[in-house]
Amino acid sequence: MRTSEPNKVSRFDVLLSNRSFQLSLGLYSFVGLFWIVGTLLVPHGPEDIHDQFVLTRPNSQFLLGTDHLGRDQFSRLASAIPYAIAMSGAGVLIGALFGSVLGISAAYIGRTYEKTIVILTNVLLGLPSIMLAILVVGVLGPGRTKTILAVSLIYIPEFARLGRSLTGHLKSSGFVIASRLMGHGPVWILRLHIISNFRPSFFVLVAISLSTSLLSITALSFLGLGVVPPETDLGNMLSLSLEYVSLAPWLFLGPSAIIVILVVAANFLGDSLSKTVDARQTV
Amino acid sequence: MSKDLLVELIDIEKVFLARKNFMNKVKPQKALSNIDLQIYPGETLGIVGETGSGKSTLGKIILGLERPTSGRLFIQGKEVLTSRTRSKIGSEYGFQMVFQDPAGSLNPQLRIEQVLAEALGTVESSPGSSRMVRLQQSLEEVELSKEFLNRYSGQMSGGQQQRVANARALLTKPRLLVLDEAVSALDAVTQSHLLRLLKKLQKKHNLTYIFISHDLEAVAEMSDRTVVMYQGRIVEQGESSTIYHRPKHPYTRGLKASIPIRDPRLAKTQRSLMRRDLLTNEEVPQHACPFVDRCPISDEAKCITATPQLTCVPEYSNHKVACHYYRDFDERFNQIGKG
Amino acid sequence: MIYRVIGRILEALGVLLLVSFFVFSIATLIPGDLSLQLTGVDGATEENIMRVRAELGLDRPFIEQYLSWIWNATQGNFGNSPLTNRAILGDVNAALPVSLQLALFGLIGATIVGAPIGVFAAVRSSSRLGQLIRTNLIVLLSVPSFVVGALLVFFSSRYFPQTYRSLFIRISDNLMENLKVMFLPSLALSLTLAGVVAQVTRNALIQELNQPYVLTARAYGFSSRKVVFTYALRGAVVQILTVGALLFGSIVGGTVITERVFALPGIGNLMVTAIGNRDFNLAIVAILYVTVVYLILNTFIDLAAEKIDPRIRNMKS
Repeated sequence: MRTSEPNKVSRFDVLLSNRSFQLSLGLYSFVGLFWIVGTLLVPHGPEDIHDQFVLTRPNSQFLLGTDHLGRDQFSRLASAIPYAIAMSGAGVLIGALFGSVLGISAAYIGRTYEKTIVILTNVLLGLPSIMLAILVVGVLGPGRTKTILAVSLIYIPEFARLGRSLTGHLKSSGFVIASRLMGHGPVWILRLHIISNFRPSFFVLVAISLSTSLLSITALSFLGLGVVPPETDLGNMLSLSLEYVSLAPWLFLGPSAIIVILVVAANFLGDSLSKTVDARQTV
Repeated sequence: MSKDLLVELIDIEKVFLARKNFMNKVKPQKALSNIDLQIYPGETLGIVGETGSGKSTLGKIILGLERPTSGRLFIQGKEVLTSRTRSKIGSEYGFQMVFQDPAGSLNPQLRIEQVLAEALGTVESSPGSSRMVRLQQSLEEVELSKEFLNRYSGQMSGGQQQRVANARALLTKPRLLVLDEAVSALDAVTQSHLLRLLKKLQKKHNLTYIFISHDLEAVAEMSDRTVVMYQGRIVEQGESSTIYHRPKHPYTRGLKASIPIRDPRLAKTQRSLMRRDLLTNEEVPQHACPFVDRCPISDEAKCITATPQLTCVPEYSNHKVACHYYRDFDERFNQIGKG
Repeated sequence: MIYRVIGRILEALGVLLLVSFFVFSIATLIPGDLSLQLTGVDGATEENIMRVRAELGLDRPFIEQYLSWIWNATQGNFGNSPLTNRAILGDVNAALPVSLQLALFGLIGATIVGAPIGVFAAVRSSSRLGQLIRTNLIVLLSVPSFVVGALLVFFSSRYFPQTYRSLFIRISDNLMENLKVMFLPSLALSLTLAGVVAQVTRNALIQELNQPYVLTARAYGFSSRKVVFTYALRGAVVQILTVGALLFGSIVGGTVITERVFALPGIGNLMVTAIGNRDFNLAIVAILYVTVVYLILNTFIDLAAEKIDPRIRNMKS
């Protein structure tokens, strides 16, 4: 006989005791601290131009130096952080919600609607994700919102596929048939049974996608297609720093370190979340 | 149509169209042919057969989960149109089902309280309310403590899960319960426990049971009447004790003979009465006895060319067999040998 | 068996057609096409724009544009890029080998580095060392391609100027020079992908090692080494191949970015530049080239997987 966690309280306990989760929490806290210090404690604004201090080394006045326009690197970096996290989260959530609706409804409604969605999903999945995003962003043009939309396109087919296969499976499961026998209609079954069994896999996929989302957004900005100056993004800060690598090599360290930390944190988060759900799954 | 009857099926047929493969032709499968059945209120009707005999399909048709390809269905004297796209026979007539896989019939993400409450039309119940009391009583009836309300199905044994499934079915105050291999997935001790419980509940609530199983012994013990099915047809039906002790159809005899003999000394003498499958489902000709390739007494003449119909056995009331040679079984068996 | 191959090819062609339609419609239907750029700001009168559009064939109905484009495409004619006025075909054909070379080197490098790590981590998964590797793998995986590439550029430009070349030499012109130029980018790509390769190898191998048949082999007394290499690896290879599709996504992304960082004239770079210039005629051809390679690889991998692992073959029917 299997035993599993009896109620929701200990689900969180398991999560909290997971090493990966703790690590990720720690990393996010560090980044959060960085952001707070950079925005509140540093006297300079991220956009402030200090003509006399172009490309200076890190010193007591500018903790991470200044860029080619004389802007303080530290505060710029700090200001980019919340955008990075928010944009990657938004990209995943939009794609996840939209895709899940498409997938679940496809399995539910069936017939031509489902067939169309299957074909569309396969086509979209047939393209490497970066390319899809590049194309969309290229067409729509640069900008924060458009970048989010472009990235969400990556996750729509993935979640649609998940939603469809799970729902298809669930439709023939015993408790759904029993529910029909009790006289409940498709809406009831959807809300009570389908959603409840979809939720765990949904969250796992979301967690895993957070890191790729951040990577894609940063990559797009790095290529000059996502978020472009004058708006700040970790990606375009990085590409900028490469341009001046011979004159001011220290500019490179900040963006790359923050990027790596954020991606690592997201990876650990996804890893720990998927492990937690896995243990509860029925074999 | 006597109003005594709870359910009647007349000449029911069910054909499944197999999924179209990319380049293969569509292969139809006949799950049920020529089914005539009467079900009386308060009785336990047993349906016994192997996998593929169509017994589950029959149960589902009675419940409205499947629609017959042709034939007529009557419930309490009134004909039920089988062409409706949404049949809610379950809830409308008070028919319910208990499934073979106990874990599969309970949503693993829900607490038992919610699982049971679904039968009453809600999911959340306030503690102390009359609804909650009903839920607790339903668990008591199946001999489970009300602590189980807070558990998840993954924390219970198969027997306990099956009892919850029963409790849920009973909450809808049903008239008829289809038990489709309801105890097959459980160990022997739990099985007998559950069967005893089922009998008790039947008396208490005046239920009609349709007991589907592959186990002839269990069926004979639980049911008043038994129907034996083979490849979608009824080959024998009658009082359970007669079917068990004096089976007439070669297949029923074969089933009885293949019940494992527990005594190791006697077990050595056990022999199968049936030949191995010589023909596949598709190869058996249209108008032949479906059992022809495995029957120890079949012949080339009649058995291949004419499907035997259910005919009454004169010695017993209400006993029917579909076999050309059932009267001369012993004779023919000794002549032809065990094949 | 032959039917399956044909079926897959047809499937792939179908996807290709759909993708081309999708891509083409995005490129043609969005506002702000090239006519504005060609007439320039001063010359942007109604007449001029109409004339340019007629020249480019943009005033015909959509379906007609699409069909004629497809027709030309099958003959190898993609037209000229209005911006550079060179044949698109030539540019793309020249760029493809560069990317393929980079991707190949990167993949080989990644396998050389990543696969042994993955195998080691799988075999020693229960030990402290194995756990440590697993955590580190996650870190390795997390370093994005542009950071790796940028790091390499950074270090090499400061400390090893001789490895840092800015001029690209083709493999057809001079093998040695070509290899010198390709060294850094390939290294960058390898390091980026090594994490993924290691992770995938490790997971696949762990799954295989837990299969009952491995236990049986061990019970028979086969040495661990033989068990791992002869049996488990075979099953794992299939899984790896299957995940190869996922891997390919990383490869394409990594290649594109590495090309940008190191200024290699590959398809990725071409594509990004074209999109930046709003030269969509060029961009979609580049995209389609990549898609074709992707589809070819995918189909090949699927068929190979079926061949190697009978389980998949039987699952399909």
